[in-house]
Amino acid sequence: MSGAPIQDTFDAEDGPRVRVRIHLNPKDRRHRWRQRQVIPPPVEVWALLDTGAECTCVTPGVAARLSLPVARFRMANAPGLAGLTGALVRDASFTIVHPAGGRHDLVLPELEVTELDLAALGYDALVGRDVLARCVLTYNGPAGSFTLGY
Amino acid sequence: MSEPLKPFPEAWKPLETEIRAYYRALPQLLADGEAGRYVVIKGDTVYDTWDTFRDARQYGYEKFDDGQFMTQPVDPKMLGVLEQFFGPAPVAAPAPEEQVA
Repeated sequence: MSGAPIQDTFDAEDGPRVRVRIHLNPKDRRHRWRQRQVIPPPVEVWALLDTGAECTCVTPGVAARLSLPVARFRMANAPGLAGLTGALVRDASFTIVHPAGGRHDLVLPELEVTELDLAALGYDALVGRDVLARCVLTYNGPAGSFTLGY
Repeated sequence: MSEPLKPFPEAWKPLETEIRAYYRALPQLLADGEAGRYVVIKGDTVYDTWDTFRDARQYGYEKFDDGQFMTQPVDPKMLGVLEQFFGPAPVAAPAPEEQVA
């Protein structure tokens, strides 16, 4: 554990959410810098902590704002959306933003994120089990609160 | 009667050429014992395989100026997945016969 966990409240409809920062991964940033291409600023959005998601997901809109490079394809099972569907996996860097400041953030410089149209669910991103595997998530349903340590 | 092909997934369209190339190459890659490794494909050209996704991505970023290429695990399950969009997979070439003294 790297410090104080994130502690927050949630309502049952939205579920536990954290602020996340998505950006190009360092390899891609170096590559674009060498090619004299524009490097967009990182994008910050709210993300649902989703133990039902195998992998971390972002919306096509977030991927497009950053021009995240496509890495591969996969089948994704999204019961809340279209069920089993084709999806693209993109290279990214991914940060869970701690409200107390940058030194408490969980920074993952290289993470594959799956692009899924989450708009129907009202989210810009899902934090899946690939990231939660590094965390301790405590979900207090009756109190409507959660803590996330890492 | 064979099943009619399903429409290619809209989400995969940016990689359609690479996915076709992957499907064509997959039987041979599997026959060559490459399952579990990562293959780099750009356009319809299949490059090499690497032990890790990270190594394969590194190779691609160094090789391709536009940074656009696919890095896919060599996965036998994908034969069944892709068959529904492209039809039966090509057959791998038989291994060369061993020389008998």
